[in-house]
Amino acid sequence: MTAEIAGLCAVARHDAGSLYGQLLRENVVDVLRGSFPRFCERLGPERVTASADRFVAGHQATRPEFHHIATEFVLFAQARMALEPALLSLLEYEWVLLAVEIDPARIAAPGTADDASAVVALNPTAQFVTLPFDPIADEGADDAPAPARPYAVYRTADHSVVTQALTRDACVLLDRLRAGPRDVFAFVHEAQDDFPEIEVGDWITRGLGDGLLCVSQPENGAFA
Amino acid sequence: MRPLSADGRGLGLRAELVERLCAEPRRAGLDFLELAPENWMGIGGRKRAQLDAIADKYPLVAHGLSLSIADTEPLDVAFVQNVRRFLDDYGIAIYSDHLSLSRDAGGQLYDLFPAPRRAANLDYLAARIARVQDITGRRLVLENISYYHRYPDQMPEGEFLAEIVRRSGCGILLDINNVYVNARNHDEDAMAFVRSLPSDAIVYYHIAGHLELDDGLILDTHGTPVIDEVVRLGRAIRACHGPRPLLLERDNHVPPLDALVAELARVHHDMIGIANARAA
Repeated sequence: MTAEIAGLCAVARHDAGSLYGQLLRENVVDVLRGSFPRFCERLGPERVTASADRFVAGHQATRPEFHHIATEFVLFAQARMALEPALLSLLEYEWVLLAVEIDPARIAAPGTADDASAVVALNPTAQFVTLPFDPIADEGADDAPAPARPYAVYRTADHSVVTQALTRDACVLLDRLRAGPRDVFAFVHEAQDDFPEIEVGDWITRGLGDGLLCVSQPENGAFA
Repeated sequence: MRPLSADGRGLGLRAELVERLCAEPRRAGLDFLELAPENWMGIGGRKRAQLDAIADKYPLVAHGLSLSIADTEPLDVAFVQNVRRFLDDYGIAIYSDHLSLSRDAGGQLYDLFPAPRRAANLDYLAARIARVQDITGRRLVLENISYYHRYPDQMPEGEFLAEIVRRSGCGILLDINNVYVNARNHDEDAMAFVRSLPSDAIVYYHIAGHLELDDGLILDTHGTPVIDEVVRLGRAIRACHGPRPLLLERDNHVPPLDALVAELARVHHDMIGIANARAA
């Protein structure tokens, strides 16, 4: 049984012209086009097909779910494709968009930090990427090279996926929140000394408004 | 868990249909929905909210793609446990997958490959099925797949499937289009296969369209309307094994929901009509 199965699967993996080889590659290409539209557009149809072929033939995928073909392909590309750095960044960015979109975390409804006992936290879906192109301008259609810049990608309570450019100060403040939720007033007091040139309270208010930050009351147990 | 009636009519839950199903009340003529648990479990956000809304309206049936029950690698227990959590969360009683494999020693292969149908493999498969049934707390229901490769000296498909049922207690998801496709592609007797199956193991039926290539090979694409010949085979199957819930699969070139529900009604009516006439 093992040898027969191995033989059939080997043909599918290594003979793109065999029927199962074709079906496998079509499945992969369909997922790539659906998951990474801008990457596939930049790569071009011939390279997409060739990449799917190499992926099927050589990648040891461990995730059984079909929708994780996207994740497996990113791992394959990082290890085996020798893509141009900007193209790899685009692929990884589109993967982050997908991951954030389906992240199982629940997002609290927008709130304010007016209450003296308010606790502020990072949006639990937030991921941080540094991109050598501007993904926001013109939807990054041409993904023209730009100075590498950090961005936050997160999902809002109404399920929108947002990409937001970050300043250096914002990166440091967000990094402090990555350790866990913080009492708003203690956080502002502490951070304000380190960032005298910005109004940290206003920064929190803006973060709450655009959903990058979330607020909760400690007594509701949300951050226990 | 909401039971399905023997004459229930269902559709596969495709991304193209989700918005409409969420927006409208439960519609007449659509009794249940089938989803691939792998596409929905462990996710949040809009898709999760949409699934919650749909699950409030329709009973759900889970039809997996990734179990790979017939491979020779260790069973992915964590995956099956995740499936169980999902089934429990949504009160899903029926969990089906394919009598096939989608994995080799090199990892996952994202398609369904046939297993060699040999008597020597039956105990192995029955033990794997029993393990899955233990983990999920449900009878595993296995679908007869379309296969495009034949190993030499195999048992007849129906005899093999019936023996797996006898040894494991699993159920059968009888895919009518797959019966047709295999019979045509391999010059086999569709009804001989059908008659060899134990009626009481058949849990529900699948029906779908297919694509005929220039060389005569038929591919189970789920991308076209169901043809009359497949509906006629469905009538014969229904006459042989009795009524079961009927699920129309459409995974490619998915038409609007209204058109799909209309096709489901037509196919269901045509299958029932002649079967009832024969019974009378």
